[in-house]
Amino acid sequence: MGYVDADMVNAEMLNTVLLTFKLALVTSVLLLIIVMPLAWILANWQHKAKSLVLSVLALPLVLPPTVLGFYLLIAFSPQSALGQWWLALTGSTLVFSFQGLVLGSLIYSLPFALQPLYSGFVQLDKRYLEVASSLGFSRLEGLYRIVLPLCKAPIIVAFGLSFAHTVGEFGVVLMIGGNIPGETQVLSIALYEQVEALEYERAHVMSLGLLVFSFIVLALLYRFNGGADPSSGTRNIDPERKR
Amino acid sequence: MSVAFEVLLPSRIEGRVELRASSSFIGITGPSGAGKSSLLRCIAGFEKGALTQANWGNMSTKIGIVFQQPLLFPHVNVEGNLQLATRHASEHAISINEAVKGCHCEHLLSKQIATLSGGEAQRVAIARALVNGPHILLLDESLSAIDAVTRRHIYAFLRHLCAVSQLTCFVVSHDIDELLLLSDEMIYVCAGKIKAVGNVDSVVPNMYQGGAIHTPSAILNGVVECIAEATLSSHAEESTHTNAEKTTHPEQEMLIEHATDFGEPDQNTVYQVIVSGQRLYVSQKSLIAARSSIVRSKVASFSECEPNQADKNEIDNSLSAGGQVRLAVKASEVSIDTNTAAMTENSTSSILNSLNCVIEDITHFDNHKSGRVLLNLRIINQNDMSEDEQPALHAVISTLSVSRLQLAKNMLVIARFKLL
Repeated sequence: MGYVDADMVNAEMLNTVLLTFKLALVTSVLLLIIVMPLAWILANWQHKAKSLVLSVLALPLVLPPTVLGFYLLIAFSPQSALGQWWLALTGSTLVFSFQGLVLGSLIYSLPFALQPLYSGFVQLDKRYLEVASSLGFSRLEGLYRIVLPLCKAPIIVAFGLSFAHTVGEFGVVLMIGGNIPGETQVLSIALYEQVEALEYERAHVMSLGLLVFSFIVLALLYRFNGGADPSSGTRNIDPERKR
Repeated sequence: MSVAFEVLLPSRIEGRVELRASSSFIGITGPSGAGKSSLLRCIAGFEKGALTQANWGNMSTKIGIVFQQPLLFPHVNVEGNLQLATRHASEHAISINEAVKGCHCEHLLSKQIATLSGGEAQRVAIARALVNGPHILLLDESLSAIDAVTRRHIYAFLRHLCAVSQLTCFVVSHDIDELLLLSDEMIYVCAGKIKAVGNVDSVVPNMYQGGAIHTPSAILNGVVECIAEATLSSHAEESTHTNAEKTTHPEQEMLIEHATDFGEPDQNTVYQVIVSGQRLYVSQKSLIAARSSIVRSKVASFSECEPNQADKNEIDNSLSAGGQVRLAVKASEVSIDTNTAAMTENSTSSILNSLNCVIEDITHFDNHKSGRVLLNLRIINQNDMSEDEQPALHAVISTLSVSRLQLAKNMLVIARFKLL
C-alpha cells in the first residue's frame, strides 16, 4: 500500500472528514431523540393501518436514494411551502445547505434507527412495566428507569447503524447538497469527485478509510450484539428467556 | 368489614369473592387455563378490558404482584432491584434486611441477576415486592421453582407478615395440599369462573367434585403438646455424641415433661398434637402454625395496624407447647380399622395416629369400575362439642375393603394414618 501517503491528507480532506462525521453525529443524535418515542408508540400500537405506516417508514431502505433525493430537492426548493418557510425563517435556502443535508439524512437513515428500536421494544416483556407500576413507578419513570436500561443494546445499535449509514450516504446528498466544500461536501461526494478528476491515489485513501470505518463499526455492533444481527437489536431484551 | 371484589373479563374470568375480615392468606387454585392468573391481573388492574370492583376495607390499597417469571431488572444487581423497590415504598414496608432474611436471599445481595438460579430469582422477586410495602400481595405461582423446605419457610414468613401487619396475600399454586394447609380461605377457579370461595372445609368438596383433586384432604386444627419421645431420644443421642458430660435418660425425661421451648427443630421433628381430644404424631413438615389466636383487626381499617412484639412472639412460639397448629390429612393415606378396641396403645400397627370416627357417607367414584370408594368420616371428639364443630376426615379405600369389613353409614371405626 505504498500509494497511501500521509501527504495526501490535506486540510481540504480533513474538513471533508470532519463535516461527514459532524453530519453523521447530528443526524444520529436527532434520530435517537425522534425515533425512540416513535418506536415505542409503534411497538404498542395495534391498528389495521400499522403495517402501512411501518411500510412508509421503511421506504428509504428500498427506495433508490436518487428518488428520495429528487423529492427532497423539490420539497426543499424555495418554490415549495417548506422551502419558503425556511427561507423566511433563516434567510437562507434549505437546499444545498448543511441544515438541508441533516433533514435529508434524518429521513434517509430513519429506518436504520427505527428497526432495531422497534424490534427491541416489541420483544421486551411488557410485564416489566407492570412490575414497575406495581412498585409505584409512574409510566414515565418506568420507561426511564426500567425500559431504557433494558433496551440499551437496541439503542446503541440504532445509533451505530444510523451513524455508519449517514457516513456512507451518497445519492441523497448529491441531489440536495451538491458539492460545496465545507458546507455539503461529504466523503462519498469528495470520493466521486476525485474519481472523476482521475485522482486515484486520493480516491484510494478515501475508499480504504470508508471501508475500514464501516468494517469496524459493524464488527463492534456484531460483537456488542453477541453475534446476532445488529439490525434486530434484540440481545438481552428478555433475560428471563435463558431460564 | 369484609374484603370483597367482583371481576368480569369476558371469556377469561368472572365471579365475585367475599372474604372474612380475618382472612389474610388466600389460596387460589384450579386447573391450568382456568383463569387464575387473569383473576390476579384483574385485581392488579392490568387488564384494561376488565370490570373490577373491589372493596379492600376503606383504604388506599397498594397492590404488589410477583409473577412465576421473577422479572427482576437485569440492569442492576439484587440489591439494586431491592433499592428500586424502596423508591415508592409505603409507610409500613419492611426493611431490605428483614425481607432478604425472611426470603432466604441475604447471601444474594451483591449478585448479578443473570447469575441467579430460577429459585433464587423467585426469592428475590418476593423480597422486592415486600420492601415496597403492598397491602395486597398477589403471588402467581411465584414460589414454583423454590425447594420445598425453603418454600415452607418463606410461606411461614409471609403468613407471619400477614398476621402482624397490614398485608393480605393471594397465592396461586398447583400444590393444593400445601395451599389447603396454609390458607385462611380458598378460591377455586374453573373454566373462567370463580366456582367456590370460603374456608378450606367448604371449598374442598367443590374442588373434588370439579375434578381438581383426586382425593380430598382434611384440614385439622390442633394444639401442640410437646415434641414426641422418639425425636427427643434421637436428639439426645446426638448430643451425647458431641458432649460427653450429658447423660441421656434424665435429660430426656426432663425435656418430655417440661418442654416448652423446642430449640431449633427441623422438618423431621415429630410433635405430639392434640386434635379433638385425641393425640396425633405429626412431623413438622406436615403441620403449620395456626393464626387463629392472633388478634388482627382489619375491621378497624388497615391504616393504624403496626406489628407488635407480642404478636411476633406468639407466631415465633406457635410450635411450642400450647401453640395452635393446622395439619392436612390426605384421604389416600387414611386406612380404616373396625376393631375399635385397638387404639394406639394396644395396636400392633406401626401407624401411630388413630382417630375414633363415625362413617357419615360412602361415596362411589364416578367410574364404578375404579374399585375405590370415598368415605366421609366425622371425628368423634373426646371433649363435648356440637356436631358442627366436629372435624371431618376423608378416606379412600377399595370396594373390596368396604365389603370385607362390611362398612356402613353411621358405623364406628378407627381411622389410621401417618403424618411423617
